[in-house]
Amino acid sequence: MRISVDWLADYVALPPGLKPEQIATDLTMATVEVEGVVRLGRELEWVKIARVVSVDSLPGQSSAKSVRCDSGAFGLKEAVSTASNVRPGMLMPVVLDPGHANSSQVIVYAPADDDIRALFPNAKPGDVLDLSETQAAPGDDLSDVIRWSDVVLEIDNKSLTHRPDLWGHYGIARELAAIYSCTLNPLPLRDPAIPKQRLVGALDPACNRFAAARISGVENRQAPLWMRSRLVKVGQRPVNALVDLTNYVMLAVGQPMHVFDADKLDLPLGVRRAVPSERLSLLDGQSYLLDSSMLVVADHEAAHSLAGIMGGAASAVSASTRETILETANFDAATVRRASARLSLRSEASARFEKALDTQRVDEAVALFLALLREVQPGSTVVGFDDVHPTPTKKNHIVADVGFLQSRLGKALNADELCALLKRLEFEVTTDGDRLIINVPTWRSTGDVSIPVDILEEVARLYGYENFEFKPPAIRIEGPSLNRSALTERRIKEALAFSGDMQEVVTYPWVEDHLLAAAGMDECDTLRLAAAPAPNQSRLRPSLIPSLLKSVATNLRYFDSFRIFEAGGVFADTGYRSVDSQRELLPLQRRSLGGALVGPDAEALFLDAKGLIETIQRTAHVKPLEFVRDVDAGWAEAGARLGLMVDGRRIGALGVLTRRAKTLADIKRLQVVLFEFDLNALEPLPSRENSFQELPEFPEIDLDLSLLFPEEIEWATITLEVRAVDELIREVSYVDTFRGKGIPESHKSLTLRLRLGSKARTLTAEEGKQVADRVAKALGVKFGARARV
Amino acid sequence: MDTRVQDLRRRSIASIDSASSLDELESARVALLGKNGEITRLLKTLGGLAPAERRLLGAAANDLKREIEASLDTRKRTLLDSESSLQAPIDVTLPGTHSLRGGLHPTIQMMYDLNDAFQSMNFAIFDGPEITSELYEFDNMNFPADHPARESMDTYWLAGTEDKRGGKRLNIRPHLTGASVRYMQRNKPPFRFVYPGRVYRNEATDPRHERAFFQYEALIVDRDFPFSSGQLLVKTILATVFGRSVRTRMRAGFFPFVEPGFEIDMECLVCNGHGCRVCKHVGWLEIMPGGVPHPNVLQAGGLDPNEWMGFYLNVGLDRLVMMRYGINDVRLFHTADLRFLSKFK
Repeated sequence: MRISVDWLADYVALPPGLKPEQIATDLTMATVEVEGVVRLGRELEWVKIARVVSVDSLPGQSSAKSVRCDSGAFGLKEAVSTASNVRPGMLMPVVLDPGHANSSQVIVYAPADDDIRALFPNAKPGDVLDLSETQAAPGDDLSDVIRWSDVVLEIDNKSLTHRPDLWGHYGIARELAAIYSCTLNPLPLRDPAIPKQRLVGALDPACNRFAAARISGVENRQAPLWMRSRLVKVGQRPVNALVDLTNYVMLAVGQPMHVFDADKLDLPLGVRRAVPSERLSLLDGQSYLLDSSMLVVADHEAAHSLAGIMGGAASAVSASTRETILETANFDAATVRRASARLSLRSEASARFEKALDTQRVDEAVALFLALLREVQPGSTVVGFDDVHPTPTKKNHIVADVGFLQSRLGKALNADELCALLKRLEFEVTTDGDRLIINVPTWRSTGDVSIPVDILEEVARLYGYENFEFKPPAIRIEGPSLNRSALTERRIKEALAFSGDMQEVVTYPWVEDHLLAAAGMDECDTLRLAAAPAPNQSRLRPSLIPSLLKSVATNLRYFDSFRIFEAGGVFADTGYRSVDSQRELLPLQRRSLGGALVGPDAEALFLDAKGLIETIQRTAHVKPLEFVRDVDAGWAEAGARLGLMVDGRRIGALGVLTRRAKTLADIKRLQVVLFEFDLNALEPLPSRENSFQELPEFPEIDLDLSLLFPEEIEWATITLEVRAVDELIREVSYVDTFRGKGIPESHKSLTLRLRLGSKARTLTAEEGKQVADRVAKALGVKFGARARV
Repeated sequence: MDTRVQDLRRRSIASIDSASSLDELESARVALLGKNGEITRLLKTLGGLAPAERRLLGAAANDLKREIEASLDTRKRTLLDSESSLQAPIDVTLPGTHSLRGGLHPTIQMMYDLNDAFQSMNFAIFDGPEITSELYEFDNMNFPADHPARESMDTYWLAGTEDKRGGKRLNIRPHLTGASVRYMQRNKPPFRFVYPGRVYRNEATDPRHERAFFQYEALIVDRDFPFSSGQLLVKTILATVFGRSVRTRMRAGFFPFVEPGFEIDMECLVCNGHGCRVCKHVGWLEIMPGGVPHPNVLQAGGLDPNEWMGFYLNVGLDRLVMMRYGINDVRLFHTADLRFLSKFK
């Protein structure tokens, strides 16, 4: 909303010397956010009024004419103009050359600013601005004549939603009067002598008040320039005198109004529900299909406006209107808002009504309208007035305890100080012992002031939030505050990131259908969003695998080898239960952690991923994770995947991505190893459960043993066999595998390391060699292993 | 002084000073102080001298021995300093072999930094569900029945539930605040907790708007907690993010779940409050809303609003991260693009 500081000055005497920027800051701090302070008229500094003396054609020119004009104190000037409306005697603006005000040549002013052009709705394109309607004298500043020397405050409408009283200049003026403790000028009162006439008929209960005035003798004319100027400065385009006046009053006191052509009505006007399938053409040129939740203003023939939103086309005032009916009404906020939302039709009126206006401002609006009517439509007469007011806005009554306010304010403002602050806001306050008895003015009773904490806010914001000193809270500690599952997740992620060289990514919870198919999850019971964020992305992910596939595909464009992981929510349309309330039923949702390792060598990637998972138990202090061969992971190669178990429960999988999945996910090259497990299933241990092993009393020996094995013999079976050979073997560890040159077909050379030790003595090299020989022999017997030749 | 001692002293010092390696120095030491060294031999001759002479010569010889020992020591240090343990020189400008190739997401890292700060003040860390309901997100939060934020334009409702009401109308959470009532219902006051997480809004995206973004919310509820104490939360967050205290101001703001409600601005760190393009020339940047829990919200959480009060604070975490690092497009956070994510090392 745009607020003119010049307009505010009609209503409030602000402290002398107060800068608009300071007003902006103070309003922002105490009331609503002012987003901008715009100074108008700066570009008009050298634009002066001149009276045209003569207009002569120029030789050889068809349209350009020589214009001589009188610029008052600046003397006679000459200009060239192609405008068709230039005529002797008219007043027009000219631009003086700032350095050479005495030069006889000037330029006819052509506004660069659409706003200034909008002041003259009857002007044709190419016309010079005709200021003959004004009382200006040659030499006057244009900006003074069109009242353009002003400052506009731009207020963020979002910060105004709870303050219906502020949707007009008078409301902002009243707020400033409270902030600066200065005087608010009263608005005019309605002339009680206007004869009563029955203009208003039956009203639906959602209409709280309906006032109508019948005005005869109206003419087709423009509103005065000062009024058009104010309208344009705050963003409203002038139309004609009557419409401009209704807009002016709305922008002054926040009360929407509407004028009908009385000849098009069959009085009285009432308010009723639309009948189903009723159609109504409105001022925006559109026809709307209404339903019975919507209110219309109607006579007994037809509907003439969509109540509180927009007037109808058929009964609109036009150039031929001679008599008008002014409607000033009040409608239920929720009814207006629902109709406006349902029809996707918003207007200045609906924006105000939907925030709940008080019915009393109808009086202010009517009185201001009629007071200005004399100037705007000098030949008109108010011939009748009617006012039906079934549901007046009641003043909210609040009893607030002084101690309650003080404890929450953290500052001992006494009852007198509290009363004084509230009275600045025109609240009626009396004290009763330690209690404040408060009547809230009607304009604050429809919105945000109804209970004692609302009073707290009023007092605090007017006193100035910044004037309350910071009080450090007293903290009572009853024990450590530790969220073990959050800590577990963080420890795992830090280990993956800082020891595993993996980069964390974050992606949307909704996934593309083709990625679900790639992950073999297109048959899952996924949840869907009612409105898809993007085409084919309405399904919420049941697993992180589809998201990881996308992240891998994204990065393959730039990298050949990388590692990523993601932790996030996964969802399913199943497992519904009530957690915090029996009235609520939520589906299964878990936190999951998944990773992807990308590179040329699947086995290396697989073992890296497996190693990282194996270390989680230590890095995150959780119950041990175990690997099993049996696994349900459609995206993983049958021979290169493992299931993850904790406490006998399946919690995830690890595997090499299949060709099929890669193709469907648009992963064209390289190998991808993926893993995923359920973070909620990792049970954090209450304390450390790893154990300490005593240092060996006698030195241990390490011996490496390289043997040829048939390809199908697996490490796990080899180690079992090795351990059984001799009790001196304390550890068997893997060193490497070699295939290729010198290794027979379908064989591999495997190097393992034995750690030998005794509790009784230092082992000799000879003893070590004997153990190694026995191991080689045992493996030869069991698996056909033999020494590499 | 005996000339023999003088002479021996001169020769000894010369042999020590001329030793060009530790081996030569050792030979010199043996020649002087070894079993058959000159000093050793000299001291051995003392026994055969007359008492007066023995005293004189003995003192001189012992002085000389100490002096030689000191010289050997000095020379040894000089020689050690001049020798290298390297076979070949090392190019110390070569890059280290362990480089940090992984990392946490910048928003998550900031979240953890904030968790650390709040846990140091005994705040609990809470985690509400991502799929939740109109009951918790709006009804309990004192949103009027026809508040525009309830409309499908803003909230992602789950298909099949969008026409239901309350606890049966499900969404992916549009804000974190709804979870505060869950915490109130599950725990006994007083409490203080933070609940970081991701929220979702059905909005058009641009460099400043995302459909998914992170918030960080904190709530204190206590018996005696004036709203000005809520600044503790503000100070903690800003000092954690920016590493120093930042000037802030609290001004009027409206949110249905708080009364009074605030907008909290911080001094623009680009221009230090003087006004610049970033802060639209006002010197302040709006960074977080906050306020005192509305009595209806406390009641929804099972708390008596006459007994309990508190303070909420809600930060758009991505926005703070953007300010912290000077990132100009919020949409980068959800791209999973390693070119972007690898810039936070």
